[in-house]
Amino acid sequence: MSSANAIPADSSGTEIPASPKPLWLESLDNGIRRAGDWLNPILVKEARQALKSRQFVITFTLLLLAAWGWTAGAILMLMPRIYYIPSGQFLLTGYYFVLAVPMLLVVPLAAHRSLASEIDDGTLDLLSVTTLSSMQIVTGKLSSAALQLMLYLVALFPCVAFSYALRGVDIFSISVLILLTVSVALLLTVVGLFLASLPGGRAGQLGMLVMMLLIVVGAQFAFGPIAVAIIQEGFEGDLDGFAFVVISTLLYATTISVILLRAAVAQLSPPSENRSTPVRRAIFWHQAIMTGCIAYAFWALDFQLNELFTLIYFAAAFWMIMGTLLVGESPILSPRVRRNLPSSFLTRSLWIWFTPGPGTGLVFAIAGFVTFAISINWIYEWAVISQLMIVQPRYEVLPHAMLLAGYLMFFLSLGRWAMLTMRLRGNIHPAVSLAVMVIVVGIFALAPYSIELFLNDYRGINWSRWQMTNWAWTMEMLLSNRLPDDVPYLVLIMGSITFMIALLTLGRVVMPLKMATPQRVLDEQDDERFEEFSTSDSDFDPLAS
Amino acid sequence: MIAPHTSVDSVIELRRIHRFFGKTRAVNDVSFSVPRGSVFGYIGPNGAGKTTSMRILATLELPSYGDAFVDGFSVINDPDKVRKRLGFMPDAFGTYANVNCEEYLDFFARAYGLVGRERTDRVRRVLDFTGATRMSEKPLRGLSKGMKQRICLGRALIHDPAVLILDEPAAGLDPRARIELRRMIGTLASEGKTILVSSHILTELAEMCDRVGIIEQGTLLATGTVEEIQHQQQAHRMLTIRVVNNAQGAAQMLATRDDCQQTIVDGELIQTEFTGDLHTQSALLRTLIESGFEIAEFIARTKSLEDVFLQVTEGVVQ
Repeated sequence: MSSANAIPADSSGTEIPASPKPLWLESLDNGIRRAGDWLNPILVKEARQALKSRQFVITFTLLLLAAWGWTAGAILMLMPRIYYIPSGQFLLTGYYFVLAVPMLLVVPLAAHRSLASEIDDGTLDLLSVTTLSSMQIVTGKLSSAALQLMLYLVALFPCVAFSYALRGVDIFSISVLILLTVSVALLLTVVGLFLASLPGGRAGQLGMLVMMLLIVVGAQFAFGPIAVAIIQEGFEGDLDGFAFVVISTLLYATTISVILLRAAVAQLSPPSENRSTPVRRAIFWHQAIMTGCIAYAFWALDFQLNELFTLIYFAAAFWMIMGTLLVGESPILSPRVRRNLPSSFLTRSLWIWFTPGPGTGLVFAIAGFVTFAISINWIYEWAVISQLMIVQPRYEVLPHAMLLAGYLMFFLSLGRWAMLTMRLRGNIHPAVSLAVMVIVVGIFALAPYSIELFLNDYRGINWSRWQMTNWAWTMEMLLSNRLPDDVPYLVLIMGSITFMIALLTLGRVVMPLKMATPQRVLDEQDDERFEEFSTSDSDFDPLAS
Repeated sequence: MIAPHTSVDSVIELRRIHRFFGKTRAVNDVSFSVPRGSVFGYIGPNGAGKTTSMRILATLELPSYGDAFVDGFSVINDPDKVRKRLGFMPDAFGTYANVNCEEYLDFFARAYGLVGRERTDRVRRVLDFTGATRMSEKPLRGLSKGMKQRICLGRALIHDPAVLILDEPAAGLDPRARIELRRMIGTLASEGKTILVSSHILTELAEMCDRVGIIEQGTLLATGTVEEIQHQQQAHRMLTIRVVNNAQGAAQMLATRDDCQQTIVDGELIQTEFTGDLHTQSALLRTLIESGFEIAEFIARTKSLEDVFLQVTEGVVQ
């Protein structure tokens, strides 16, 4: 069939009247239109929708009115001192609060609702049957939010310039304030998109909306004092240290955003896609970058060593959550995923842990934490040697690292078995994986405590080695420096044994072999590449419009 | 449009598709194929599994077991290839606020990767084809159901797919809009598109479809051309007999026979559901006459698709 003729061409044959625009304007117009062809379609659609929406018009108008109102009010309040006293700080503080409402509240909530309503209204299905990828859908929403942020920022820029002209705030503080506000707004938008992507029906969406509201309101209260401090106090101390804190905070926010974005994309992708590897890569890079930041802080900036071990606890909590989600993955790999498995021995050895599945997830999580713990211990040892410091034993990293690594191996291995058993009844929702893990760690903390309490006729008991699986009590003992020295080793051995037993059942993890891609698909890919090559010069005819 | 692979005979193929939702078997071992350029009608009561099967074909659901193919590509393993070839019109419209018809189609054209003049041409042609050109500037949410269905069909056609999957396209439309829609589907079919269409309006399906499949409780009960299915069901015909002298006696006699079910008497008329071939039907007539009944009319009615549907299905909803 000649499908190109499937729909008859316009029979009207009406001629489009010549445009009255000058030629240069016409060319510019066409150039912009041609550039617009390569924009993310979701960005184009969202921008059209958002800029025509009542919500945007009202917010924008209120922003301008509030800014003008504050300018007039503040000037009247400061009169006549405004002529001789630096007043920029006062005005900028007000402008920050005017700007914070649309940037930290309205835009993230609108992005959340935008994706949630695509799911509610069934339009996500319409998008899913197009050639748009889930990544394009999510990044399109994010780009649209970023565009709105820029519009609000630009609208208030004259006011910011005015406050600078009134003296009292330096350009560096203003730049850092804007940078951090935009970053927090983008992070909140990503959190909103992630929450919207989580499945759970209408009730779940309502719960996510409430959670999102709490997060954005909380962010207003949490970031507000920081912003005010930046405006009021400026930077007069250690600039290197401050720059490091700002950059590492931005890096942290960026890498966490990438993880959440990847997770949102994974939620929207069909189950036959490889939804796990991009998330694992994002986690890997997050940890690598954060380790680099920590190393830089201690080596180059002489940060204090005393609290270094606390980072291990944050990392353990992070890997516990990530590990739980990873070991809750389906063990079945779709043929589509298997086509892209590493094939050589070397690549299999290196990359197999990035492929989806609960077994690889278990190894990935434990390897991730152990790598971090070893890195932190190296940083600690190096700093102690190079700075010739004497550190109290309670601040040593190794016992904490060993204890937490032992618990992580123990609980993730047990959690994996529990979830494998549950999988016999069907797929597990990520929330169920987390609930299973909470139950497992809860039982192993409470059971020995309850038993020993019962055996002791409900009288007070002291910590004993029977309480080794009681992670909460054991950690408290270590943090208060009352834990016997051998216990971290014993916990590590306990975890290692459990992990080794789990490894014995991991045979199937390395068994799936790469599948050949069907010839039909290869032919199609060749055709697509050829088409791409042959149409690399756009056939857009600017005069056609 | 993506060039179709002429080596593949069946453009749409379902192979032993199963889809379970908990204990509910929404689709249970359904297999059928649709040859290139034909229109396949998918019939079944509400909750029969039509929409689920169509969603599987549209790559929106994964089958619990089995696989489906569009132009030779698996919906499980190559959904991206399937999507390029497929236009899907779901039963729910799905609109966006603050978007007019042209912007809506333009967005989906972009989403299918159309750029430049190709995109603008395509949007214009689709508006023209669906008769929505004069509505192009109107906001989508203010349109009537019929106009929305046109735009929805236009959206499914925007990338000129070889395969169309239309889920209840005529639901809720007035007679004129239904006729228009049928005309459009007919035009598309005549242009060689392979179409899978589900509908409750069986008479319309019988007119436009080359083949039909009847599904109930997730199981495909019958498949073939309308004539084939009618022929398969000829063993269960509706007999209308006018007995002039003793209709009650004739009805009693028929009620004793195993091949006559659900016998109803209405004055001189007897209606019964007869099971048997033409020979046994002729023997029944002879028996009635030999028994002394005066038969004025003896009509074996060829069943409509609606009759076949009612006979094949039990009306059970999962």
